[in-house]
Amino acid sequence: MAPAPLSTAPSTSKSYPKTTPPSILLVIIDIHPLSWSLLASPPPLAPLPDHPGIDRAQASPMTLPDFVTVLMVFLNAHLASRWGNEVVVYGASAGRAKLLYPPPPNAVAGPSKPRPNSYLPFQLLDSRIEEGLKEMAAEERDRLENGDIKSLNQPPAMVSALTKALCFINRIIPNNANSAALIDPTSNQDQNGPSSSGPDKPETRILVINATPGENVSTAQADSNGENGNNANANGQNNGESSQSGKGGQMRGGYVGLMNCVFAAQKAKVPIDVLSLPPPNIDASPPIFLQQAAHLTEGIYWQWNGRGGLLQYLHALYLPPPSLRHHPFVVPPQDAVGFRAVCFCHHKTLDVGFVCSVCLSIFCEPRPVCLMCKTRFPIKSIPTLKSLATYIEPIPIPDTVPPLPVQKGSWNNQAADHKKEKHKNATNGDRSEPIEID
Amino acid sequence: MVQPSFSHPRAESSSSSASTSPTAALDTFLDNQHQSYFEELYKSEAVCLCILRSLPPVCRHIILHHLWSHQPLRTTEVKSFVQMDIKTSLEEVDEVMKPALKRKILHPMILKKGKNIWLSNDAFKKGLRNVLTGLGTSNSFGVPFDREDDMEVPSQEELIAYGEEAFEGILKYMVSSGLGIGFSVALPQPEVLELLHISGLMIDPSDATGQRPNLNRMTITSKGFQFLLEDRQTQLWEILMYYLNAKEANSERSAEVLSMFFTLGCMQLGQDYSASRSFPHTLSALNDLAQYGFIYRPSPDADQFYPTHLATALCSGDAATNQGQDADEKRFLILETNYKIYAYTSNELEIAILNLFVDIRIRYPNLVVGKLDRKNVKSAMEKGISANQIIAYLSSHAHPQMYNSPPPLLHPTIVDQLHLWDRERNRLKMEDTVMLEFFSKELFEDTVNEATTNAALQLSVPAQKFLFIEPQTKAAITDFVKERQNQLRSGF
Repeated sequence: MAPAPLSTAPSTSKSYPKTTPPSILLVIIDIHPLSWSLLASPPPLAPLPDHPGIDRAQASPMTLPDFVTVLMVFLNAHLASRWGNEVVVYGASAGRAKLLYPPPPNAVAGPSKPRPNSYLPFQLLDSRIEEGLKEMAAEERDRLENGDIKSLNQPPAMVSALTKALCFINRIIPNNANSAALIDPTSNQDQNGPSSSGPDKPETRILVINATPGENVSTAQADSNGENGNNANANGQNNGESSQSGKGGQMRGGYVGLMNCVFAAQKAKVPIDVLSLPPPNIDASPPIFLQQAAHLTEGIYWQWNGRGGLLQYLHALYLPPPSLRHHPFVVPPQDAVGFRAVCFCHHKTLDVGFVCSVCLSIFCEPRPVCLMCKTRFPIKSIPTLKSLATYIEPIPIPDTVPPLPVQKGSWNNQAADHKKEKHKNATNGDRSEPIEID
Repeated sequence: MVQPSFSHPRAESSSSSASTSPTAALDTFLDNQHQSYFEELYKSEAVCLCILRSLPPVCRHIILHHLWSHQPLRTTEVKSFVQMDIKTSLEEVDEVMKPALKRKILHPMILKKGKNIWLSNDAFKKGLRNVLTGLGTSNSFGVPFDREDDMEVPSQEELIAYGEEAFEGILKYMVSSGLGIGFSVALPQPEVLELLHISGLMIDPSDATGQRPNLNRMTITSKGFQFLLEDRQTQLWEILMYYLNAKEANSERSAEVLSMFFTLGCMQLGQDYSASRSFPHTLSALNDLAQYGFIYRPSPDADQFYPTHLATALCSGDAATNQGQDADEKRFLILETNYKIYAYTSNELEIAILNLFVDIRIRYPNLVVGKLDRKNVKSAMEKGISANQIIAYLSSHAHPQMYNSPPPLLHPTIVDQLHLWDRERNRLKMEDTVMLEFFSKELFEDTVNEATTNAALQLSVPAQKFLFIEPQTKAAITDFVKERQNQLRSGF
């Protein structure tokens, strides 16, 4: 359940909320070593003759320590902006995710001698994150030394981290009406007396910081750009925790897992904000599934332009809590979202796919038997479907327009009684031709 | 007669409580300070952090939004940020940033190169940046004490108990002086008594001039009763502001003391700090605070001190003092619609406060049963306690069971009755007056008009042609009447 909306009538400044509920920020940092090595040595930026002001800013390499420093200042600002604000940090590395902050309750408190010039909560947060990141880096080194190259080439475990984050939210804010009964009337009473308030229900949001270029995020699948050949190994390798869940060992679940997380977050009204670090010169294609995640949960998606200024961007875009975002503040304009999906058989990103009419699994080619639910379909309809699919013209979308609603093409449903073709919008014009079907 | 309207007791009380935040005393104090005072304050990073958090959310986020920018804050920027129309008047935009302007975080708006901008206060900006990065140099978050490993460390519970005991001791003393009932209370320190006197919370009734009070024979005033019913954080800030004002009255510099309060508020419960290194200039003020239970010192002249929960919860905004273990202890009241009150408490202070307006009938070790009745409530109101204060007290101490019934928390019957009793007290008002009797209707009406325009009219009775006016305007009105009379006569 969402925190009770504050009294917000439009127009005058008098109507601005007097208080906001405490806010919990769950950050997921992608610390995949390969992605960060790419970020640390970016190719030169393409010039932007239209915007001389932006063009003057030099391309700045971004290393993990630099970024973590910026991130810590941002997290401190989040803690500073209200009493009772909290931060939770997860690290997502190749194939595994880990809670970095807060430390588990039974952990021995570190050498936390307060420093006279820093606020103790900030200091604890910063030192613990640094410690956690170093631990994770050491683990990665161990994996490398043990020759565990294949697992190092896995994509970052975004799904695992997101699941953990959602479980964390569910633990602190149970969706249980019984426990809420005590709290809700209390918050209604808030205006009644100066201190009659029970604890305000905290609002939560997730911030995903993505460092991995393009579509490698969360789905282990071939990359069409060819820039990330080093990740090619991962395609043959099953994603760590999802391989067990796949039926018949076929399905790798990265995409499905991510989407399940997104819908869970959507239902729990938890916005997923996404900051995508790889600038356009590393990766021309945005991580469309994270972009979809932000869009579906009403989060904020933004891609860094590779020209510095991250501290300012973080403060400007991601700091206001959800209760202030739409009123009185304004959400930055979002890029057009690509609503393409991934097929369950080869994990390709599809413009045109075929959907099982029973279990709604998506495939890149028509199949006589659904791989997921084993439903049989008449074999005769397959050539008809294939021929019809070649006529579908994907709709090009301009680059930056307000996000469009999901368009599910169903205009060729007369073609088959057992399979429907599903048309997904493409983000960029150059990527929008239909995938060829053999 | 005007009918009292209690149809929206909730709306009424919400509007009154909206203006009273726990830090209201602090806010009024800061509102009266000048630029230089804030410059002095913002040298401490802890102050910057606490002041930032005390701003309303919209203003606070605009400040944070702008924190790392090199440019001055432009009005157009704020307008687009808060979705205002671009043609909105400057006053309206200024209104948004008003809290920051009042705290001198931004300088007043100026027109520069055709753009309306606010320049930011460099001291504040630098301070806040240093808070976030931890690069400050003013030791404003307290220098920890280097203790030997074998030294005994008091637990958090012990510190809370110590702070509670010290502060409740003072409150108990105040209550007991007013009720004349005998539960033995220790006399607070002379400095504490003096502050209670200066602040007007207690007076010596035998001392007519108020100059040379006998501090040991003071009784509580109506202001003191009101103080008792406030919640804990409001009480703490009020006491601190009385202390600060007393310092100012002695023409001592208060900025450093105030910045010490904020530093204490940012400290950690259970951690020990070095007094001489944390507060080199305000050691004596720190010693004074020890008498109220804000800090605990293992030995009286040691450099080492522990802040108690009273100090560390000072800055924790909204009702954070109610959180933690004493939250449940504070929610003990069940109020029934038949005016019966059940208080599950054994705290002497709370019982004594209840006794101010409740007729206590039964006492068990952990339960007090009483009844709100006209006599006791009215006697409380005689002492200066208002109905709103009683309602606020009752609702803030309501037992969790009370929340199980549909809102409103307190039954409207009782709330209305309390308001009625409050009004009853004010039914008659005595005022001096001068009565004029007229024989001519015309003259009467002219005089009424004249008296109304000069705000001299108290009451007019057209049927009998009586007019009641303020005594000090008598001469002027009679002059007018004479003049008018002559005019009217000459007219015939």
